Amino acid sequence: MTIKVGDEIQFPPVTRDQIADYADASGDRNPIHLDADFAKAAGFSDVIAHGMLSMGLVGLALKKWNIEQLQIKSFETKFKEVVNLGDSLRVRVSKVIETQLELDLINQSNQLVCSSRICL
Amino acid sequence: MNLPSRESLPLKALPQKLSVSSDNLKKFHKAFQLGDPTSNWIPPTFAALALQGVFSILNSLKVDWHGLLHATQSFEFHHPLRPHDAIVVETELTDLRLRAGMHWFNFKMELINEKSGQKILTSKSLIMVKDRTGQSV
Repeated sequence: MTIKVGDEIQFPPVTRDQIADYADASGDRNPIHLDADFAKAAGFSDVIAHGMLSMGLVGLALKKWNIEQLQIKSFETKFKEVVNLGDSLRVRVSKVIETQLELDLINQSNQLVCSSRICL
Repeated sequence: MNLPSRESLPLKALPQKLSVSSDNLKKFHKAFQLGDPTSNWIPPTFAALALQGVFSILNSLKVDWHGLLHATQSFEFHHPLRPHDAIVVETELTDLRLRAGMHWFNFKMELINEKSGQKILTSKSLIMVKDRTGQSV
């Protein structure tokens, strides 16, 4: 593997359209992702992104590092923080041990959004 | 919420079918803002589509979606997903606990190749729902 601890990939800010597109792709149409009033009633300022969209961005980072689904034995994620509209997320490599990677998804405030462990 | 007793678990959803179709892949590519419309890339999280059985069970239990959190998710690949695979998903609620004011729902999904019967992937989800009723399990 050519990736190393500290490598990062930055993604564009999360948009309402992206969340709606992810709802369409995944079939997860929980109104907390699509209906601002519902999200506000749950205590958020607006709709929030799917946890699986966050995990998906980690998967997209793997693609950008030329690691394909065919190579993956397991992929585990712990969700830590909600992703809000406009959040600017980046994936950072936190650990590489032989064929095991640990990747963190971090927001613009340097909060850990989710942490993932991938075994190849 | 209509919570089942732990003794009655596992609680199974009706089997679900999904396909690694180009249409499904294109929708994921759009959500991930990939530019190449001809790409056959299969996201390693494609099995997010298999969470429908989880939602079905949660709806049958009448959980309050305002207080729902997806806490952990894992995919264990036994074989890779391939374009055009037809998949059957078997979903079950394997455990349910009340801890620290939250209901902890553990789900397990098996993704099976419909044609070969080969197990492709095991997915596990921990979903937490705020306890608003004082209902115990």
